[in-house]
Amino acid sequence: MLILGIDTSCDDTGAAVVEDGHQVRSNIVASQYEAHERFGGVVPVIAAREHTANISFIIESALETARISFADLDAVAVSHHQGLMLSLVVGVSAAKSIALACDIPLIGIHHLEGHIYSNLMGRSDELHFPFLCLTVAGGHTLLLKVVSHGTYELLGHTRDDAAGEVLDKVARHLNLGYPGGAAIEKLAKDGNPHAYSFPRPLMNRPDGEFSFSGLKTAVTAAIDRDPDLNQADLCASFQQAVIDLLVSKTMRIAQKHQLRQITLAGGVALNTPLRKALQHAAQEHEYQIFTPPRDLCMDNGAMVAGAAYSLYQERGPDPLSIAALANAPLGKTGIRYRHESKYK
Amino acid sequence: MQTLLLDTSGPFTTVLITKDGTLSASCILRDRPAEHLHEQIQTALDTIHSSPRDLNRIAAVVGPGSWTGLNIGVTAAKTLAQVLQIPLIPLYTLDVLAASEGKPSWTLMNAGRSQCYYAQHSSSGSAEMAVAPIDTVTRQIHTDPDLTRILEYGDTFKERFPGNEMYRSMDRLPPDALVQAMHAAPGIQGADIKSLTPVYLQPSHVEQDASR
Repeated sequence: MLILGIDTSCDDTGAAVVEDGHQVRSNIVASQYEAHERFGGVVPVIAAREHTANISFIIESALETARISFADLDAVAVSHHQGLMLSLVVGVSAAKSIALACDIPLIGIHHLEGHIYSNLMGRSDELHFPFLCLTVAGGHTLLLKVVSHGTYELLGHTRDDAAGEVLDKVARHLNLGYPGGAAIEKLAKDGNPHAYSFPRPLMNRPDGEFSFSGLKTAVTAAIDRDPDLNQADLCASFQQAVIDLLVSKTMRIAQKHQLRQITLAGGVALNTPLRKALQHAAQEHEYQIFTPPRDLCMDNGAMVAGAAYSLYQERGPDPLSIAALANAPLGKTGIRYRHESKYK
Repeated sequence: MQTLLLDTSGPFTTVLITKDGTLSASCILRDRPAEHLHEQIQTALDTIHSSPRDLNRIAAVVGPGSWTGLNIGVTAAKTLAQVLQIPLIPLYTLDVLAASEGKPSWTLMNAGRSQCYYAQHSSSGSAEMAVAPIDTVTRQIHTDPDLTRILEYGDTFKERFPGNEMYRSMDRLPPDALVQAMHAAPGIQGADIKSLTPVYLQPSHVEQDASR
């Protein structure tokens, strides 16, 4: 089954062709970094404009790389839930047009399910339900028990900023450009992670709740206090605090719920020190860690097509009337992981 | 020759199908296009027992107008044209507005921040679209010796022409005007379709603020 997956949930325009849910025939992503860099973050109206300009070329490139035509597609999947509203609607409009013109099923995917399934693609033999998923990006930080296809239990989430968001915001405070996570990681390589003693909010609490805003405030205050500080030391110390929070909570929740397989997903999963720290901690407990290939960590269409293959078997196609939603409950149980007012 | 015509520039979402130049199906909703545009297209096609494969070309309003509405409409139109490998005719809002009247006219619509999109249409109907402060455009209109008609898409500037019988506001682009404008506009093909974007005559407000 050939599925075209489209993701325009934030600032990357992604389209990919995936065969039978695991064989990635193409995975094309057009980055908008240059368009947003001078603003230090994603500007929704600009993101939407760039998606509209790029979408046809990206879809064409995905088909050409996979050496297929529209007529070969069996379904089209799109991230329609979770992201920037102005961006989501562009991908949804393109996907609906393809479904209508090709007379093939349309499959709407919650963007987070794409990230969750980035680890399952091609690994169904070794990764088994239920497992723990730590998904960390600019828009969310969640610990989920993945019970079965499309069924999740929320075991932890951030009560304020997402981990990727604080990485971006601190980078902006240091004028390191956008995306901030990669810039912080690069500088941190030459720094001392123990140079600054930054707080680790809620780290010793037994539940899975995260908080990053206090850490962000402490780091930005340190920058404001001493404009000549050693940026490498600061980035290393800040990054270590984020990693300590993510790893310790993940291990505690894995232990509490007896989940021996742990997956890491989302854009922050690209962070090499985080991957290593998680691996190291897992070895101590004899847990297994799964991380997606690097090109499936950032937003992309392949993870959407991968999720769609499995979820289509469960749920069937969606109607042409599916709506894009910036915030939407996740999975069959309708998990709400953001403030209630966000869902109105 | 069957043509699908889309207008998502304003508070109404208009889907029309013409057959050999005459309107054969229409589905108009007073709603933004995000959810229902493609259902409307399906409904219009079903009305005349057609399928997307029967379409020979697509026409779409590319702006100016609602930022999100146009992103949705233009993306829908160009993706349909890309899949079906048929030409696309971009339509400009102010040209459609002018096509609703047989006389030379000024057309204008709100561009935000005391600016307006405007065009001065000659007797041949051709016009250059631009964006300028509404005060400047109002002055130009009031001093035009050949002024016969002022058409506004919306009614933001109504109070600037009190009692002026030449002024008329329109809350949507009329189907007849859309069809007429479509006949007068050239089509595009291939790479031009893929690179088509809505008419962004001015930078976004964020970019305007940043450039100050």
